[in-house]
Amino acid sequence: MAMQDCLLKIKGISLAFSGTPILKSVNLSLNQGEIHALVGENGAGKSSLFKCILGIISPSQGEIIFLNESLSGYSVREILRKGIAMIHQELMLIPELTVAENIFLGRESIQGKRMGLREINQASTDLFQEYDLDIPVGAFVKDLSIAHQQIIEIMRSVSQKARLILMDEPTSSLTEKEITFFKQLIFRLKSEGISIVFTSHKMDEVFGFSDKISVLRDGEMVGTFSKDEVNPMSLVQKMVGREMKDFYPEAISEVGASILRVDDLSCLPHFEHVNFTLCAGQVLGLAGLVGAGRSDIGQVLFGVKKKTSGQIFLKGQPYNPENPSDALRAGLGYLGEDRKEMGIIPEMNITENMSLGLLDAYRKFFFVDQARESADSVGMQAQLSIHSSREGQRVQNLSGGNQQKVLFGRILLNNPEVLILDEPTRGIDVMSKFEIYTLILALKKQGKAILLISSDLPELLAMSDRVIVISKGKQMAEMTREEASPEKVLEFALH
Amino acid sequence: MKELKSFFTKSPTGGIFLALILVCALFSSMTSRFLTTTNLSVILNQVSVNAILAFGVTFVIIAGGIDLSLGSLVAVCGVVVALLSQNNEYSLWIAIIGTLVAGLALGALNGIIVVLTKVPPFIVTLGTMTIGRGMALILSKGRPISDLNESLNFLGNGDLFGIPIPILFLVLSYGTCHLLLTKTVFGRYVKAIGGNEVASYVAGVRVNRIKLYVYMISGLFAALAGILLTARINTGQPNAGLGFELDAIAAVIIGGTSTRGGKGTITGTLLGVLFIGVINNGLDLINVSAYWQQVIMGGIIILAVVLDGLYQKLKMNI
Repeated sequence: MAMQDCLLKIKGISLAFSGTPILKSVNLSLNQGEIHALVGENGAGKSSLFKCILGIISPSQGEIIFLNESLSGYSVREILRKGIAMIHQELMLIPELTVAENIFLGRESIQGKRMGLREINQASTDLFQEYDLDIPVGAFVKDLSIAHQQIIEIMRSVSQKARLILMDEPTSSLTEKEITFFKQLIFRLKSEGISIVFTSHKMDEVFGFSDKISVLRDGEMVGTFSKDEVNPMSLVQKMVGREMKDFYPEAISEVGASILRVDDLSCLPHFEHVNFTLCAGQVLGLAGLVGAGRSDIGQVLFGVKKKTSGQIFLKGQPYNPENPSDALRAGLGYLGEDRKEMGIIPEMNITENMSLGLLDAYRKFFFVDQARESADSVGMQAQLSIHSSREGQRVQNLSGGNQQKVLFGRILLNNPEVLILDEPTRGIDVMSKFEIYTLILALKKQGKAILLISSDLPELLAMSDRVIVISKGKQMAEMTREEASPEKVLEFALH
Repeated sequence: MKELKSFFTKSPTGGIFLALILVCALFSSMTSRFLTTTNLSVILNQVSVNAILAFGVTFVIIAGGIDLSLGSLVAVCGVVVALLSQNNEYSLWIAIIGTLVAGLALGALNGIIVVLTKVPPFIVTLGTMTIGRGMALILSKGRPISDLNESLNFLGNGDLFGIPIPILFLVLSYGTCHLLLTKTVFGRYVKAIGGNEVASYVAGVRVNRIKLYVYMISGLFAALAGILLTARINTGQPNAGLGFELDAIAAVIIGGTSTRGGKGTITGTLLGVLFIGVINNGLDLINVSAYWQQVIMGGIIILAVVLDGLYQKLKMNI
């Protein structure tokens, strides 16, 4: 590759926080118009590397060369001006402003020329036309979907003449359809000569989008590979640094008696006329796009939402939970789709988070039997291999994977017969994912009935014995694991 | 020594405790009248009403709510206990229990409106604050109520084993609230709701029930404060308790309870109450005018919260 094609060169960057090494002599080089995937477990140093490139933190050693110029000593603002942009996982738009106002935020005058509302609307319209985007520039950002908001952030970077865009898990909250569009967009950017470095936990995107793949592990660059040199299996091994027999563990178990039967269940306007039976020792997968009504089915079963018609039978008896507390007592367990919003109490510690909602079982007169509570929690932490740096650590300081395991602990402490798991592996690192898969299959072997809701199609198909596809609130198809293929499920889901 | 350092750096109330010691040291160096047994007893007696109110409202604030109706509830309950103990018509016990029930009921009213209407508690209790003041005036026909039961007066001004009764109530309330918040199922759920209401609901916590209870506790302690206040001045005053809610809330916040809910301690609240009490008392002793006292107090409240924020950050790095 000729020298002038090299856009970014990272030479031996090291970084440490209070003695703990975060990055160890990391090298990376990137050409113009290259899409580069950066993979690694949570805590491997991906975000720190991004922060170094952007100048948010300065490395203790090494240097970063962008367009043949060292970036050391430049401020974040100056680096942005040189043409490096970043799309954060949490989008940084102002919801109460319009699309055009967001794109030109902070640049209302360019080269001395004042950009009025008309000028920025015109400039945004031109930009969108150039990229074949069908988003009204006058719409308020708060009224747009997450996917559209993300496109607007990308377009803001493009309008700022970014040569390199860093993206932190850009697809984590997009639906399958939106991901397809996203892919088209970044290929378009590539054809304009813009380079992209993105992080992702999803293998099909890592392989589907990128020209090169770099693997970080514990702050060290394991290597940069072209797509032909690695496959998903070997890549995961490089990420975790050891052999994994199979990413989705195999589990065969006897399907037992019917536990939960749903008969013509509706919860308008979310879903209607849903029928299925869930048996002991079985994993039933609910597939569909985000917003299709999958999560709402789980919420009705757990008493978070109220059904509008239809019936639910639990072990043959009519079951009508008024609230989650009823569902808990009936022997159900529930993991909500958004860990931060519906799962953890950030200020509380692991034990307090686990026993939440179950304290009646630990009641001694008015008081909490803290000795027994703590003993059960410690046992569960060992069983689920939850890693915390010290006793009583707040859950907000744990990694996503450990937080998710704490929530599993809460479910298991109640020893439920039916588990409803909504996106159990969203946004967590590969190792924790693997542990959660193993756990789900162990529970299945114990004869638990499991309803699995997931947007990660490979995961859903590998874990489920049967799959039901939901589209726009309607049950489109039910198939066995053998019958189900990604293409078939998507066809129904997009129907 | 190590344990002492760990208390100041690790305990959530270490910062306010340190501040309290500093102001005490400051006043002792300025006047010899500050650090005497009599004066300290006066301070405790003076802060008892505010302390009892502040303990109750700590639960509301930790659960993510607010109760602005406290001052009015003090007035209503003060009038109720006065009416019930006028002319020796009922026994003292009936007067006290009747008033506490009234406080619980008024607190329940706050709780029910908050839970059922989903209107922000700030607005709801702003409304009941005005309603309560009106009710106190209606019940008393706008006049102070005197000729009260002798034994009621004893509650406000008497002492037991040499300790003034209001201070005994302060200590008793502190112990009860502290146990309730730190050791009981209820206390745990109060913190959980304040930390993340949706997550608590999904985990099976009866969120509405807990919310109702915290407002009832706040009402109950307002009633107790109303009884003590009426007993101390030996009169039922419909205009009593004006602005008491603000002193109580200030003490809670100075004591390190987050206004966003989820964390806080009764010990912190007690220290906050003492902090305010010591400053009021000390400024009196060094002859600062009452007008300037207000200006200084307002500044200190803001300063305390700012410093606490810095202190918490500093603690992270130790």
